[in-house]
Order: sequence, then C-alpha cells, then structure tokens
Amino acid sequence: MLTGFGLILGFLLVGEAVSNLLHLFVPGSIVGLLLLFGWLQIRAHIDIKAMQAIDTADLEPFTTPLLGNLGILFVPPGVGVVGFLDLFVERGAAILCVVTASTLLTMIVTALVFQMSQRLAKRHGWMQPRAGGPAAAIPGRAADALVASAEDRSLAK
Amino acid sequence: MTGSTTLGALLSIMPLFWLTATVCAWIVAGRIARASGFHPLANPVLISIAAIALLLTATGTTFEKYSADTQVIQVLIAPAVVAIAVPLFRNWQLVKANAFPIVAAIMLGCVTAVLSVLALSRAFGLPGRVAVSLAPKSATAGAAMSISHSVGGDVVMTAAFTVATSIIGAVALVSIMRLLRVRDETTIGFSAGLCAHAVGTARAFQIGPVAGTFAGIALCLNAVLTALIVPLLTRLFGVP
Repeated sequence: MLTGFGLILGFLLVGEAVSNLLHLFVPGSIVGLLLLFGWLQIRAHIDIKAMQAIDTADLEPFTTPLLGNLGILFVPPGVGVVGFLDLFVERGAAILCVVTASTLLTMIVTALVFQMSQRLAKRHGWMQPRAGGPAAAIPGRAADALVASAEDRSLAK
Repeated sequence: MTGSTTLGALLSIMPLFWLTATVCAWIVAGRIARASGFHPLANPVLISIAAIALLLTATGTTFEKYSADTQVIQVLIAPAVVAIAVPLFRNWQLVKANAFPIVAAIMLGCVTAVLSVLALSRAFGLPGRVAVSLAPKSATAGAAMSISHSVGGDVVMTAAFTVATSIIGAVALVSIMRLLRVRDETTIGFSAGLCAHAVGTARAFQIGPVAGTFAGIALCLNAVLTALIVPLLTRLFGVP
C-alpha cells in the first residue's frame, strides 16, 4: 500500500513542479494524473526492462481503497458549505439557486448530447466492433475496483 | 458555564476528536445508505455533512477549528485526483470505443457547465469574484480549487460549492434521467461524472459498473477540460 502511496505522491510532486515551472493553467494534480496515465500507457506498449518498475499492481493497493472512499474526502469541504450559507444568508440562497440550476442544465445537456452522438456513431459504424455492448468491453477488475467505491465496501463491512 | 461550552472546551484540547467523528460519521452514513436501498436522499456524503454540522453547532466549534483538525483527510484530495489515472488506464479500450460520444458530450457539457454558471451569476447580480469561484464547480474538488486559485477565485468558497454541486447532481441524477427517458448506463454515468464529479460517480456505481466507469471517465476528462476552459471563458465574460 505504501509503495502505491509513494508513487502517487511522486507523480503528484512532479505534476506540481511541471505546473508551476511552466505556469500552466492546469493544476499539478491533473498534470500528475496525465503523467501517470502516460507512464502506464508507455509501459504497456514498450517492452523495456527498466520500464517495468511502476505497475498497476503496485498502485492499486493504495488507489482502490482511496477511490473507493472518495466521498469522505469531501465531507470537510461540504461542512464548509453550511458555514457559507450561514455567513451570507441572502447571497447564499442566490448562489445555491445558481449552482442548482446550472447543475441540472449541465446534466440534461450532457445526457442528450451523449445519447444522440452515441446513436449517430452506431449508425455510421464509428464504434469499434468489440464495444457493441459497452458492458462486454469492461475489464472486470477495473469495474470491480470502483464498484467498491459506491458501496463503501472497504469501510462499511 | 453551559453544558455545550464545557464540552466545546473539552473537545478543543482533543485534536483527534473531529477526525474520529468524521470517519465514524462516514461509516455509519454508508450503512444507512445501504439499509435504505440507496435512496437518493440517503447519500453518505450528505448524511455525514449534516451529522458533523449539527455536532459543530451543538459543541460551539468553529469551521476553522474543524477544518484544521481534519487536514489529514483533505490532504488526500490531490493524490486522489492523480489516482484516477489507474481506472482510466484500465478502461482505456472502453474509452476509445466510445470516443465520439465522449468527445461530443464532454465539449458541450463542459462549456454548458461553465457558461451557465457565469450567465446565471450575472442574472442573479452576484459579484465577479463569486462567479469566478463558482465557474469550475463541475470539476472534481481538488482540480476546481486549483483552477479557482489560478483565476483569482475564493478557494474555500469553490470547495464548498463544488461539493454542493456534486451532492445536488447525485441526488437529482435518477429523477432527471427518468424525466429524459434515458435508460442507457453509459449515458447516465457520463452525465453524472461530468456535472457531479465525485459524489455523482459514487451514485453512478450504485446504478451499475458500466455507469460508474463512464462517470469516472467523465470526471477525469472534465477536470482537465474545465482547467483549460475556465480561464478562457471568465476572460471572455469580462469577470476578473
């Protein structure tokens, strides 16, 4: 587990450094994500001995429980929402209206665009054949790893 | 001295109390959610927040004190963003197969999320700094906070309303999809992850593994795209 933690922190650190040095708009954590994803892709495609170092098997003992309990990370900031609503009662209500309306609108637009473009892609044969039914293409382990997240298996046993 | 201030004084010398309370609230909330058959309102994040907020009020503890005592949890937000690379890598085949709907929905969805909040903030007469702080609300909290910081927003406000967005989206998800008569799991999941990131992704996994995987992909891509789009659109909109 600690190997995974160390590796993730390492990629985060490099991500932060790249983001700061190049003055990117993209935050360090996202740069770290892209670097780690890039590393895993390169490793999967190029067979060099030195590249075997970082593997998903090292990462998953840390990332699976972390992503599996993603929600708890948002409890302290969420408690902060309550404080904000107290501080500016009238403005807090307006902000909450803006956030709610925008969230619902975004959800509707996304769902409609995704559905329509998926139908379009299927009709024109743009979907890869092996993904005819998306369920069939899901690598079981990955799906399982995150399923635990929703149901909090690791903590709520 | 009233009972609550004595208790508050006692708790203030026990820095571990609030960390313990948060973890316990999370475990109990998870059980309640399961027992309710994952009812939309029995959201573990929502229940934990309500329980902690009540406890803070009852003991007269400030949010600053609570936030300082739970730093160890909050420190993990940035590593959690990096960790998303692992499921993204594992599901890469599925992402490639659905490349067209993913690209189309992420572009329009992300622009809708940012533009609608800027336009509505203006309509409601909210100050520019508030609008900028709300703009990245559909990116996952860690990313949203960094984005907000880079465009001069209030990071604490962004954190608070990013989480609010996540909870609102997760609670509304099933009702909205019924209204739109959408039954396809890839669509439901992608919509949940794009607009309601972490809590929405957790909700999508309750629907099924396909929905959850697509929520994770959307969460990931939207964090990157929001980081690129927010500085652009806030400038176009003329907010500082």
